[in-house]
Amino acid sequence: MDLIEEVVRRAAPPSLADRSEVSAGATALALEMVATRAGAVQRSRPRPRHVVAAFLLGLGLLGGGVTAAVAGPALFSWLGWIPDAVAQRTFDLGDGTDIELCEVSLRVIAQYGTVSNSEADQQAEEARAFLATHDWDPLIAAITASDIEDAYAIDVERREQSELESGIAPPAATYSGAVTRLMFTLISAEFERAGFLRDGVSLEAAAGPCSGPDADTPR
Amino acid sequence: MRSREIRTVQQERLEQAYVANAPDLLNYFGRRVLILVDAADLVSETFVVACRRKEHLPTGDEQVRMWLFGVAKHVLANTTRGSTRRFELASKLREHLLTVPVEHPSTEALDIRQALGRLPSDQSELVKLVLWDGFSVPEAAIILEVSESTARGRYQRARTRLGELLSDYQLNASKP
Repeated sequence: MDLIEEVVRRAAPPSLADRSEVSAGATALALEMVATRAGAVQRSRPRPRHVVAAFLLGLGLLGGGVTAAVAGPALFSWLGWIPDAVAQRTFDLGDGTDIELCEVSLRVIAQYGTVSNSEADQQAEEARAFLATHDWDPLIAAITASDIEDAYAIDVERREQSELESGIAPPAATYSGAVTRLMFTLISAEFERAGFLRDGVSLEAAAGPCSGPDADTPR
Repeated sequence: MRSREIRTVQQERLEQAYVANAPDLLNYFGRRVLILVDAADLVSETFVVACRRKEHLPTGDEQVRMWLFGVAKHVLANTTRGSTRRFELASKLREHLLTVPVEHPSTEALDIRQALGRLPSDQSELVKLVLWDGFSVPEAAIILEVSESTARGRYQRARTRLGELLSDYQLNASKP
């Protein structure tokens, strides 16, 4: 490198890549862009609705409804994404079945391809604001022991049917799975009724195991 | 099925290259935008545009990097003609960028940047790619979508002109 090149090189604006937090932020953004696109592509395949739920186990909630920031960093780490809202509740089945805290994490994702990108961003922003600020408490509080028993019975029946058809035994039904699906079903239905589940918007949910000795014990 | 598999492989290669090069892309934009926080959105926009154009993705890993910066160049050009599109996902990085101290360049640095600005834009961009971003001339040629020989000639002309414009600094730098 000659002198001219050297003085020009020295005149470069400072490198952002030399600032570790900014550099890490750029990588994090890239990973999120990739993950969001992957989700959008998956959801753009024919589906009855733009809702995606990943219930690994899950059920529960004591007192709270849906709040924007009640879940701790451990949950976000497990999810791999930061929810826009987290639904929490505990349920009393009235028969001694002990199911404690259940959480359903929810987020809105812009779905590109069906509308213009700017429209998708705007609609997702509006939907996100609704999801994060709407009072979901009454909806979830209205879930009764009977609703949960019905949802659990349906899960058991579906698994039996699946085993009959495939010859492979699926994982046993649990109260955790039944309740968190019920919570999400109600929230997504309300979200759709409010007009936010439309082209350009997806609602995604995930739930981990509920706490409590009976939450994941098949009956 | 075969075409779907190919598309998937293309997408994966694009995503890997994008994540690996994101800090450098941020740096690239950061050195070229007037408002630093806009760089975060341009990094996002680059991925969106790259996904749309991924059928043109080259095969070699290093070529993919050059191709990504070529996309970035187009994104930047489009932005300078319009407004920066805001990405929700970029908000965190925008916040990081707000904390970056404002640069106070030296008089020398300002003079040199001014001299760069007096070059034809295709020459100054080539010089920036080589001397600021660390690309070789052949790599910069790929990004700028010109032949290597064109880039070499252009670089030489730019270097000669800069030598004239910066003769004082050249003399100063030559002093022991």
